[in-house]
Amino acid sequence: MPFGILKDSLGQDWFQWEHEAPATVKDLREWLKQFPNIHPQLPIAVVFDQAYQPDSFEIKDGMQLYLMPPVSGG
Amino acid sequence: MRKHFTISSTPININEVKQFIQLEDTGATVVFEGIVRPDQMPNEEAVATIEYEGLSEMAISELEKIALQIQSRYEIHSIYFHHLLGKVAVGQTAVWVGVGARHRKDAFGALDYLMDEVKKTVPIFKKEISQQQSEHWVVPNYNNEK
Repeated sequence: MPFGILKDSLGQDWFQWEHEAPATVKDLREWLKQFPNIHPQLPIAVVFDQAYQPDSFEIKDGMQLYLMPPVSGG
Repeated sequence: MRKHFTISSTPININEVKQFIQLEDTGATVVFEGIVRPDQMPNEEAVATIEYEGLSEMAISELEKIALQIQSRYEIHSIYFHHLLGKVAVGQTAVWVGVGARHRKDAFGALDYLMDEVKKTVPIFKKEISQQQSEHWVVPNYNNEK
């Protein structure tokens, strides 16, 4: 599920990502580069289980991930 | 340490913050309200409303981590943090924060630290909306938001 500006850039509240195993956060970030509406310089954090995950985090089948641009609360 | 973290669509009264953070041995309380400013959007229209969205459960988890960092840096008794989600009009409060401590420097320092860290890791996102209904997502360090 994308948040903030990413939701508008992707044009949808959620999407399904298919990738051959093993897949990592880095692979997901690479895949997101195909979307022309996402600025290439936009930092994107990947969240699973209420925590930010590093590039090396292995994404497994059925995981629900959140894609987050830089936060802007406060 | 006494803590209260809320991410909610319901505004609160500042007195709730004051009552929560002032304990028997508290010598200093610092209270902060973050208010929506009538900034200019990139298209030069004025902001009328900000819409906040976020991931509440993770936001609370991040606030707990920040509280641990604060405890290792400052001697404080209490922290209160309440952030609104949804639409907040210009001039209205979007975030209420309070810190109680024995001494002034710890209270000021802790509150400043808390707000700095909130703006780095707590998953809340804001979209500016003008009177003409133009929309603009605020993305720090990306579109020069300060």
